[in-house]
Amino acid sequence: FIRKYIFRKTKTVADESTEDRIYSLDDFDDTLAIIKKVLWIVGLRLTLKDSDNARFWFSVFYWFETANILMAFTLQTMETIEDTKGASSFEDATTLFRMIPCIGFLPLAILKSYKITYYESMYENLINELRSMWPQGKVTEEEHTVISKALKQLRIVLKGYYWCNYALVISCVVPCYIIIIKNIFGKNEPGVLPFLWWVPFDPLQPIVFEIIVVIQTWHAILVMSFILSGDLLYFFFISHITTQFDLLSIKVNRFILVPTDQQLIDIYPLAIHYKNFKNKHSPLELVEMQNKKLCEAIHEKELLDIIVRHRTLIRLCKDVETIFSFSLLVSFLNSSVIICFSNFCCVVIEKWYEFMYKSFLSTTLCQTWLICWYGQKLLDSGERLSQSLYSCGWYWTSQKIKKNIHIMIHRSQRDVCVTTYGFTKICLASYTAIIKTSWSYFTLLVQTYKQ
Amino acid sequence: MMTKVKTQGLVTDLMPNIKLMQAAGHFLFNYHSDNSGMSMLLRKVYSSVHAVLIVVNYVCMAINMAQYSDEVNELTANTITVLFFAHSVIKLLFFALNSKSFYRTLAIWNQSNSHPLFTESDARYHQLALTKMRRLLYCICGVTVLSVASWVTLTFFGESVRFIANKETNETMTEPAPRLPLKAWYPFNTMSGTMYIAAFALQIYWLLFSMAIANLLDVMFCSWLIFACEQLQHLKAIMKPLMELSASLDTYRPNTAELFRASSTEKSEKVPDPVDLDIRGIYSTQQDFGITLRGAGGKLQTFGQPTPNNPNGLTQKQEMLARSAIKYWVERHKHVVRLVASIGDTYGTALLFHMLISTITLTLLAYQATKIDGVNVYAFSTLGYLTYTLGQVFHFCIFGNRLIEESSSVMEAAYSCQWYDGSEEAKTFVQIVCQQCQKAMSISGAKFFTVSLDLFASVLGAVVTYFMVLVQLK
Repeated sequence: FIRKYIFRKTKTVADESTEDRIYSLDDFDDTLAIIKKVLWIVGLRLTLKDSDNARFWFSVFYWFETANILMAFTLQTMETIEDTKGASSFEDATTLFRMIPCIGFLPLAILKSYKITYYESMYENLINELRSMWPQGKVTEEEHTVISKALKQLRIVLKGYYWCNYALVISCVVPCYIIIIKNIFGKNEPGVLPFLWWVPFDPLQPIVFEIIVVIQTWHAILVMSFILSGDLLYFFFISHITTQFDLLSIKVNRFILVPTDQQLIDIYPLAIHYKNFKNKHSPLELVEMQNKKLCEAIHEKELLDIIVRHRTLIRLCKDVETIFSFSLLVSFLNSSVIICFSNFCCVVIEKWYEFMYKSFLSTTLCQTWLICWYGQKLLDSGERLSQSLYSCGWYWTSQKIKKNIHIMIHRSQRDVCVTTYGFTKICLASYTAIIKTSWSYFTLLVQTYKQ
Repeated sequence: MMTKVKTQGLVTDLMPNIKLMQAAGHFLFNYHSDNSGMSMLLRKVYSSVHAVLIVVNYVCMAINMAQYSDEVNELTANTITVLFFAHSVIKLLFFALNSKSFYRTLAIWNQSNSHPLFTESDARYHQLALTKMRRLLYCICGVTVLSVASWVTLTFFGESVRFIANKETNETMTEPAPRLPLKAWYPFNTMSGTMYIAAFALQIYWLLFSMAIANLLDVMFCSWLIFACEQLQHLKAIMKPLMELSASLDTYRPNTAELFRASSTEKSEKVPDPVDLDIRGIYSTQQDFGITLRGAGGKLQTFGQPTPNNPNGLTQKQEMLARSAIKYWVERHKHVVRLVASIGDTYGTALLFHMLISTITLTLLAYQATKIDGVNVYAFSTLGYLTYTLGQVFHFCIFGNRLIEESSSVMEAAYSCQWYDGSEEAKTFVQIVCQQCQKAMSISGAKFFTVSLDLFASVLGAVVTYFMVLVQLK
């Protein structure tokens, strides 16, 4: 009875795995779902067919939101400048430090969403091309591993990033609402605005205060959505381009068949491909494959497909670079400033049991790390392609194919990556550089503070 | 009766290292001949006991550090010691969590391909690798024992005190502390008597085993790198005869049979005298068809009719040998690349942690070094810590650097053989190999940095800069 049960269980697991290996465009569209939600708040209509009327009203909505954010930016900057003028000692300047991160985010938000409007056709083209490359139907075991892992990671990152950003905004804004609720119940606590604005009247008057709090909450959600739209699209594109590179590597590994012997023993990867091919095809086809002319024709055709796909992926990477490089540069500068100042505030101003600056510091560190990690993934997948070009059975083909493969290896050895507007490549090594620079500015600040 | 455990490949080569690691208490449970439940249980108990003792004593040291954290000098000294031994705890944990990865790397070279003409060279470089690995193991074991001995000896010199900050007057006073190698909090009084001797013995054991744990794992990593480097040397050495073989496929070359003769001296793998190349027709290649294959057993059929499209009149079998030589070379190179990739995956994170902790330790040591005021116990202990930490970093940096150099010098070897005489096939082979070897194989610490002498130079430079700056500030 036990044996039958175990046997049945393993059979269902095996059935499930072959079921899982069938992919369709729905999987691709699923990853886009959360991004579309964010874009709806922002008012940008990517990949959606609207009537001209709807398009007009949506763009009005978008520009209205942008104007709001600009207004918030000017008001905050004015308030900060006023504060700096009035600051007599270093302690007063600490309120300045509280505002700098918030001010930094506003132009970043505008920049990111502006890029989407400016390059709309490029975005749509990227999404459509990636969609057309998505594998449909049954895939092999190797491909399934690659695709499922990438999809899982992408889902976790998109959802996690989305919810973390919301949590951050809520944690900034909720204390003010708590004070409002306390005031309703009779306690007379002075109101605290989430963000400091310069306004020509007293913001702490009873009705005006509530209105301003609501407006500031809406602004915070807007800013967060703008930034989210930029970052989530970046993760989406890089993740899919990386998956396509990996699928291409798998294809390259497989397309030349080399027979096993003493020089290519059974446990080597190429020999395993040969064994799989032998299992799947009849002996007659094996004999056919010995025919050199036939082999050459097949190899040429497959190599042509591979080269065309490689060129497409390189072009898509260049597009991603064009769209994202400047906003990523501003994002990195912003992050290093924030890390420096929050670190300073954590160490010097805050007590060890308070969490506001610590959470700011950790979220900025995580956000920069995530961007660098995705950049590193892209770099790695390009390198894996160059490795797999070498590890295919190139020595077993004709001179013509060998020369083609040689040129491909040459090109694939050059890094395929996103840069920050030409300054640095986005990878984990640049992340350490950012941390080091922030750390040195932080120590400098601490030294000046001690004096 | 314990039968000899049947091992192959890297495991056989690294057996002394593996046995030492098992003795030191690493969670290494494979590669025993006797795998019965009882002995496995005993081994697991042994490792767990060691792990518990090491972690408990480490925690005692940390408690001591927290207790006496008021005075700056005392705090710095204790922090350095705690960080110093953090390596052992981390490496012990790292191996326990990652042992599958280690087993996989050790099993990568269980089987490797072979070619009748190159078995000689293969065996020779394998032997070289083995000698180097053994020598490294003995050296590091010696250094470990020497360090423990000198640590214990140094305990008996100087005052056995600790620094306390007097809260009222804000100056430092000294208070007598037990004369033990390490400052740690024990629940019993260790000032004198049997408890003192027990604590001393425990600390000697602890010093030896924790240093051994950290160093043996590093030795295993470096041994893997030595092996990979010697394999690359082998590939470089057979490049020349391979070119000759390939050239013999479609250009007339005298003395081709020399190439097919696999002998033990290196001389016969050299290119025949270039003067001979101009003298055609004098040499009768008909006679030179003897092939002796070591390892493949027996002579081949050498007297078949020479194939018409082959200018040197090689038989079918000899032609196959020449073609398969390239296949052997490329597949062996790919195997080495897989080995290096596996090494990087397995040990990269451990290297990252090591470098992080070493950076902080070296920063603090630079600060301590500015307070040296004469030849005393303090000076010796600070310099000892410095040399040991820098030595650990140097140890894996130099082998990482050697790997980078070896893998990029394959291109040199390919270029310096007579590729211009070779067949078209050989030339394309050289082209692709040169292209691939331009990007050197390297080990990275989880993608954050590359292990090379550049890393060591930057670490050393940073320490010296810090030291100079601090001396200026005093």
